[in-house]
Amino acid sequence: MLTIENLEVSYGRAQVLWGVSLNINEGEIIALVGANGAGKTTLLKTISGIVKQRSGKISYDGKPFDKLSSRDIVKMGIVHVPEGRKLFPEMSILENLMMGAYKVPKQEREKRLDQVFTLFPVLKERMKQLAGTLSGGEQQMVALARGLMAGPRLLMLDEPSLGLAPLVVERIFEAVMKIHQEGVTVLLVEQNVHEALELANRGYVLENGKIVLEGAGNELLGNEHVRCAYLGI
Amino acid sequence: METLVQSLVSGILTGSLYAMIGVGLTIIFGVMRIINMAHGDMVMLGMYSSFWALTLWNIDPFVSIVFWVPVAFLIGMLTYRFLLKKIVPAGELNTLLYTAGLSLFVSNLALLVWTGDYRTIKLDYAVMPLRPFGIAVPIPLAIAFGMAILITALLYWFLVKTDTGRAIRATSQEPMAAALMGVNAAQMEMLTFGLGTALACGAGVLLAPSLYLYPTVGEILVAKCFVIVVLGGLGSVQGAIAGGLLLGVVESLGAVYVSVPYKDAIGFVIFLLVLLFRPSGLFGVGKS
Ligand SMILES: Nc1ncnc2c1ncn2[C@@H]1O[C@H](COP(=O)(O)OP(=O)(O)O)[C@@H](O)[C@H]1O
Ligand SMILES: [Mg+2]
Repeated sequence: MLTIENLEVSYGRAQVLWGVSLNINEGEIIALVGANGAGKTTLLKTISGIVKQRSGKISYDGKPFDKLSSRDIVKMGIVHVPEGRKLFPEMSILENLMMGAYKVPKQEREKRLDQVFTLFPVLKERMKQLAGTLSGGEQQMVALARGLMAGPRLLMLDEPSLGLAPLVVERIFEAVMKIHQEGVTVLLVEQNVHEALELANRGYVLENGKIVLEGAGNELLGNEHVRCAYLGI
Repeated sequence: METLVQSLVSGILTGSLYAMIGVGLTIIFGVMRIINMAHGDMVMLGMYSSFWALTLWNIDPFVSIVFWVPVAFLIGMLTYRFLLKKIVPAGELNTLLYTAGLSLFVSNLALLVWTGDYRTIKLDYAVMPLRPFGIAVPIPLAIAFGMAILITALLYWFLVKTDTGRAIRATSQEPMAAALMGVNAAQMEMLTFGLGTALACGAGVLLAPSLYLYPTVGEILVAKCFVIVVLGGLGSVQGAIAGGLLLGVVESLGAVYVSVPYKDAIGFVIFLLVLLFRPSGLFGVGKS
């Protein structure tokens, strides 16, 4: 579904991604793990078109998309839920969700809204509440829901568990599983390496802007380097 | 007691126009992080437009506003497109200096073509004020008040109820996320600059019959504008409305109870006090 070949990305003179190649098949959950500063967020931003690559190729369903704007990319069903939620704090939950559906025709929005409220019933009860006043876990739910409103085929989640209590993290991951069961392909970026690899079909390990390992989730969990560097075993 | 009511009423009337100007400045700042030093000059241009439409074509200011507002909207969008777009990413300090330069250019150009003479607009229906309940209400100011409320309310409705308005607010609250939802930031910036300019110019057209016109009138207006938006919290539309009304009332009370020459200074004293004790504005939520 999404193929990335030899991607190189820099901010000014500082190169962040070095020849990254990666491949996501329809229906998979892919985990992308790596330490802080490895370049995970940069990779997602490049896929969603808000950071431009220096070289390399990204293609979606076999079609290259280097000339596309972030607007076209959302419309094609690649949706990026950013690190740190980035909700619109002075808007209500409902308005945040409507922003998620910004590129979706009005007549379809109600249907999407129903689906999202089925997944997260609490959001329906509190849809008038300002997003800035929610707890971290609730904010992450809104961020996920807002992403779903765009109608993703590929949902890219940047550290959805960041700063959340373990119980809340579990609920978020459950929601991710449900979303996946409904047919959405997921690219999950996590520092919560253990959970992410357990959840995923396959995983990639990014270190200093390079993919150093890839493989099935359970395979990576058993990998010497992963255990030592990320799981502290 | 009557003096108090009288000055409250005058304050609110003038304040509604301050609010309109302040809302323009605050939406521009919210979306683009531009502190638009030329905002007062847009008001000045509105005042002269009002003056010339009356003088040359005999069109009443409260009629000419119907076409000056769309014209200003277009000019604002073109200004953004050809003068500002490239400079916005350079950051707040650069755009501040840049718009300060633009302001000097516009006001000096006005000085050149229209001279520094003070001008006034005389409307024949404005000779006697209305006197409801014994309170003097100048007719042009009353009409300006009504129109300012109407225009500000329309803008508010647009920002709250339409998709595009929501996208503008989203861009001002969290630009990266807005871009991820498919919002075209450059388009929102252009639109916002057009709207902000239209509000400033429109307020100028409405104010022209009530103030003296001269090319550098923008200087004092932009200073007042900063008082307004800082009172209300930079970037907040409701805050700018409240700040505008508050400044109008404070000035008007000050003129009566302190002294007329200090009228403008009083606004700034309040401004400094608010900055000192509530840096994010009277209604600010402390968002950086
Ligand atoms: N906007 C930016 N400008 C310059 N450097 C950046 C920018 N964003 C990230 N970086 C740098 O790029 C590297 C990778 O960052 P990031 O992609 O955020 O990593 P991760 O998400 O894996 O923590 C870091 O060294 C970071 O300092
Ligand atoms: Mg990151």
